Amino acid sequence: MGTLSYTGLFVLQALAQGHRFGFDVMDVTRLPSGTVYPALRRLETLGLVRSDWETDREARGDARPRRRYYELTKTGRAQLVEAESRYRAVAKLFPSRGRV
Amino acid sequence: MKTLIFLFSLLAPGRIRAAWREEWLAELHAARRAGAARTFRIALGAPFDALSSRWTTQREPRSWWQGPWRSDLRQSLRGLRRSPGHVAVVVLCLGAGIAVCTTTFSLLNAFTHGELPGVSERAGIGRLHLAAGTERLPDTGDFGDASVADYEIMRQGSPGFSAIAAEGFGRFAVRVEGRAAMNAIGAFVSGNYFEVLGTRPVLGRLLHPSDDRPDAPVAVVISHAFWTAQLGAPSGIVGQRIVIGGRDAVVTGVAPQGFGGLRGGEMNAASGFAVYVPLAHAREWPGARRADARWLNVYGRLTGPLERERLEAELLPLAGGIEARDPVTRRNARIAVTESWLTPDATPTLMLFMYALLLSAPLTVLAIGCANVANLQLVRASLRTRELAVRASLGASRGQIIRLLTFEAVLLVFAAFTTAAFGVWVLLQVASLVVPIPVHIDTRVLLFTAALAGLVIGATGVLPGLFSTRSNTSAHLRSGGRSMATGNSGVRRGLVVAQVTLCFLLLLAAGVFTRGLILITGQLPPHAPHTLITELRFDVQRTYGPAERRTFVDAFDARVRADGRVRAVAYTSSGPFSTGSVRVWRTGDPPDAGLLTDAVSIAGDFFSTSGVRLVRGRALTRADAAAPTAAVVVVNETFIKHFQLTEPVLGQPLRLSRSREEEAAPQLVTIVGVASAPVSPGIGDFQGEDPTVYLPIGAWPDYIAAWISTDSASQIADAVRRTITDLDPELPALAVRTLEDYYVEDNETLQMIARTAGGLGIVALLLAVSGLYSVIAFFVALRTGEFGIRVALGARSADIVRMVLGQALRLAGMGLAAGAVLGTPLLIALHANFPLTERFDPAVILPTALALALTALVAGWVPARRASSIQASEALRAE
Repeated sequence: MGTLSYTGLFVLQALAQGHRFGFDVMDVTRLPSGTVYPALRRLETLGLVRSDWETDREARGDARPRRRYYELTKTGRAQLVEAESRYRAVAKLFPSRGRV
Repeated sequence: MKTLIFLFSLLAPGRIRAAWREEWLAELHAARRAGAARTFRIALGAPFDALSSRWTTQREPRSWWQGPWRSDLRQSLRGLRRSPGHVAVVVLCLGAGIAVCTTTFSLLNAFTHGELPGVSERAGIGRLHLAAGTERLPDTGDFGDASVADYEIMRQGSPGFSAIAAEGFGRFAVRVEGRAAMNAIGAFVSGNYFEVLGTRPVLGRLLHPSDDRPDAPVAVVISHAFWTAQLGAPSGIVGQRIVIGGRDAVVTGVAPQGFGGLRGGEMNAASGFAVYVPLAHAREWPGARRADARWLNVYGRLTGPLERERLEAELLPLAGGIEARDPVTRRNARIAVTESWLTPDATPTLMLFMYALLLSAPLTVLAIGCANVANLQLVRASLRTRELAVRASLGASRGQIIRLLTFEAVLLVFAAFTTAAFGVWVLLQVASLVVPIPVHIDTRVLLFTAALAGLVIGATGVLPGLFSTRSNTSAHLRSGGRSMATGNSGVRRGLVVAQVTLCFLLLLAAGVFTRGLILITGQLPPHAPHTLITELRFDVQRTYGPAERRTFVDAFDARVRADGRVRAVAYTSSGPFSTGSVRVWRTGDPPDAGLLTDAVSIAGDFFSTSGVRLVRGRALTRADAAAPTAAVVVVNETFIKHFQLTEPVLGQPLRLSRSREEEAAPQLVTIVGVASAPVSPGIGDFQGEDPTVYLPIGAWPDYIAAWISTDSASQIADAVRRTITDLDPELPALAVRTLEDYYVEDNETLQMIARTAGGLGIVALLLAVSGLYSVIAFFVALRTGEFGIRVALGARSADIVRMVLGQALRLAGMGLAAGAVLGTPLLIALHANFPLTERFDPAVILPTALALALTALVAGWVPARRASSIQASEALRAE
């Protein structure tokens, strides 16, 4: 897909490695928030990721506001596999956190 | 930090603002472990996210365009994209039909109602026709032109006209200082002519009533084409002195570009009037017509609407004046008024018939195109029955399905309309090369034909969908969409048969004209390319009396014969396609039973240059020509047969009169020879084809055609021109052309009709072939299973091919049968108007029928091959 930028690819990669919310993605990709969040919004519009708010109960348990968790869709995963085969180095960029 | 996030959240869209704020607070909460400075830096990204969320979050539908309409439109486009062949054929069929129709209508409209170059408000000009000299009150067929004396009375006018002008054809020898004498076609016009037409000059001034007096110096207006092409557009042309018809004249101005008077429709740029001379000089001009000769077209500028009866009643006193001036030749004088391009005998019924005749070919193309599209659309509708049933079963309402189909229809109509508009533009660009008047696209016709196309597409695209969604959906799903397919197959077969029929008729008409042309070209007499004809006109020069004419011809004859390449030279008093006429009496015929017959005055070696052979007796000699009156004549074989002369013809006396005045005492002549009658190919009557009397040229007339027989026509042509200029630089060399050129020119109209009909016939053939192909291809697709089973049961592929081709030929055969029934009256009507071929010429009918049958075979061949390659297993899978 021509609309997937390097940033988009990094974010997808990070999500695939199990980094599930914005700060985590920023942290692992070292990309600034002004890049990561718009990228997440765009990927969601393209149908490559979907987001879900964690329940109130979980948030209250940790005494913090609710988090918005992101995960890859089927298309997103296929897109990532396709992109990784093209840009082989991308797969080794960040440490894996393990799938949740 | 919370405040900062709150402020940034204002940049995000209102409906997601609360969730956005919550998300960012959670993110900053998570970021806190990285330290305050980093948290702050992360927070600085929030406004970018808030702004970008404006563009990336899904918006809710706000207008109809963003609602279900948009998705319907997208689906329609997707549907059409899946069948590009169907779209292309539909768009091209309708585009071609609409374009051809609109162009023809536009051209017709421009000729009849359009603006003419240099003429303002053409609709406000009426044409006056004079009828006179009849025993009874004149009827519509008796009206014609007026003489100078008639016009002088008519110009007094009536309340219905602000001014009345006249225009009459003339030939002029023009000599401009420093250039060779030129022959110019021009017009004598009344002083108010340009005022009535509302013409503005390009340079100088046009003619005024003060120029139109016999004692006024000769003032001349020249055409734009003459000024530029003949004179090289000199800037000082206004006021320049020229010699015209042997008189000194002054050029007062240049007419606007393209100006051809009110007859723009009949003339092209090459033969338009080049010079305009005041009518007052016509009486004294060289070669002046008789005083009662009717040669003027009379036009008037209307003060109100063109109401024929009122205007004609107002003109009655003028008609009375004309009758009073000459009670014999102007008896029962009446003046009729029509639009400038019409004649009084053009009744509305006749006009309707003419329009129908002119438009029949383009309308046939449109009809075939529409039938084709209807067919293709019905096929598509049949194939989509199942798809529509699936949509309905998935919850699509009838409204949604109809909307989807309507969108498709609208898109197709739009594409066809765009193609047609482009086609019209291209065709009009081509037409502008040959049509002398500006032609604009007739938008009413374009819109009307497009609406017709829309109706066809709508009716055949939307209605079947409407019916299929009304009936049982589950039945359609089970049937795999075939119940509908067989449901309208009769309609589709009928449409194909209609297409083949119409195409056959159009091709028959094209065939008649093409065959006519072939016959003409094949029948051109062998001497036609080797016979050079030049016209000698002495009526454009006042200095030529009978003696000067004789001296000139003798000198010309001696010079031409001196050229070794010239075999023979002859002279006639009329051109190859015209004759004079005389009245003859056989022995014993009573004085009131004179027979009117063609007459040609000849001199020189006429019977060895013209293709007319001497069969018996002797030719006319120089001695015969030198005799003061004709005492001997040669008649042709048609004359003998037609007037039933008894043998022996040679030596038989005839009495002969050349004019009404001579009838009281006809001259006695003797037949000394019999000539063959040439059969001329084409629609023009060649000289000598009808009963003809050949007389010796006595006194050389104003007009002489010189016939030169030679093997090197092109080189001799230049020599002949030089000879004329050498003998008299004042005498313009007229066209020097071969007899073949005359034939070609005479048949130009025929060529144009043949080309147009042929072109439209080919378009119709292509449309009919595509229609036939689509139907056969569809039948094959429908019967895939059946063919598979036949193959499994042992049918050979040749059997399958035969079956499919048989179906194609049956449809074509039915079309041809219907075409034979309708073609009979068409051929009879064509033969009555254009007797070019035999009425039922097998050379026209058989190739046309064969061509259609062959194209039907080709159209069936591709689907037949496809059917024959079907495998049994494949067919079962298709079930």
